[in-house]
Amino acid sequence: MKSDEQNFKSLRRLLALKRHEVPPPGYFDRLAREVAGRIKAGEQSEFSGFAERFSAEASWLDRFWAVLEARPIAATLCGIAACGMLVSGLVYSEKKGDSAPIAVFMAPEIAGGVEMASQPSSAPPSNPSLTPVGASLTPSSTGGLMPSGAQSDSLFNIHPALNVQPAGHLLPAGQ
Amino acid sequence: MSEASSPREPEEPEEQRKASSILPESGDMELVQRARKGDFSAYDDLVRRYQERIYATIYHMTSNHEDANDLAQETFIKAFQALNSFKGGSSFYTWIYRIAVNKTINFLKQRKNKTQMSLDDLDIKAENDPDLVALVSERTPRRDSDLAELQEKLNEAMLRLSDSHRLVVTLHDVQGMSHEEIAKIMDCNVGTVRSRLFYARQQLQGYLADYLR
Repeated sequence: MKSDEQNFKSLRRLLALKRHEVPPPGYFDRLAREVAGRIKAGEQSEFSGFAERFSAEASWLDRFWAVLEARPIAATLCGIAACGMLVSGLVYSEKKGDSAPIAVFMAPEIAGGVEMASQPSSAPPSNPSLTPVGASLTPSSTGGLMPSGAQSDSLFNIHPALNVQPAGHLLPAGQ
Repeated sequence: MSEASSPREPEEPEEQRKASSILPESGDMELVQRARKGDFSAYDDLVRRYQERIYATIYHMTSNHEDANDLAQETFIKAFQALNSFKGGSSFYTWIYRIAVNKTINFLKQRKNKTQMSLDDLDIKAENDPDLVALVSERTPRRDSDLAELQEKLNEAMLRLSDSHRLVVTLHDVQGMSHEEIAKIMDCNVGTVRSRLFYARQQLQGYLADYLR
């Protein structure tokens, strides 16, 4: 063991030689400068990279504008197409809005008015099987929207829940 | 090899204690905080504070100046980018050493079998170092060997060690770090450091037998 330690001592003295291995003079000044330079360059290239990506992605738009400027007919057609898309979008959204079950969100007075206007008061549904789908599905939630005095009304006595659904939506599809 | 099988370290020689200047320097955290807030001069101070030690560690691991230069730069750049993730659970120097060590070991795994030495010159002090002069002129049976040859043989022997064994020898016997500091950097226990050091020294002793008799 002692000879091992002795040998290790020699080895450690030999390894001390490595401490004398040094880079060229002035190297560490350069290293610090290069690190600083690379960090700053990295930050700049990050920003310029974003700008380059944006301009690269936007180049198709530039070319598109150039084509429109060069050909007025193409510009007109594009304008008409854009307007057409806008109008059709508006029409489509209107239709979508009409088909939504809006009565659920209506005030009780309005809901009652809608129902009275759309369903004849003297002709109660003769067939109980034609009970509105919406009414049978949501009796409790619709009941909450009824006016306080509605239960005494004869119309509401027949189908108490009908007052919250517009008549157009009470019939099953196809009827 | 267990910790028990490795002998206790003898007292560290004075020379080694002098080399052991790898202590967390005061004010690191303040510099880190300033650097986080965008004060680049604070980070530049940190780079200048640790660049020699980081470079030396990487250089002794790779035995190649150009590789050490690249890896040292990448270490500091990576540390700058990750500065916000430094929570202060360890000292800054341990943290940056870990980055350097991980980068170097990853690099060495990729470089396997493509080892090419590009050694730094010995400084003028080496020729006047009485230990080394004695080692070359008196103790070495090959009296014609000079310091440059010895340096080359030493680096060749180091490169024959595994990465983890070379790292322990570099940090302890060359850079003068304590076992505890090395354990923190390598994220292992002190016993592992001791046993690796013992095994690495045994290996080196065998490789450099001609120069140690």
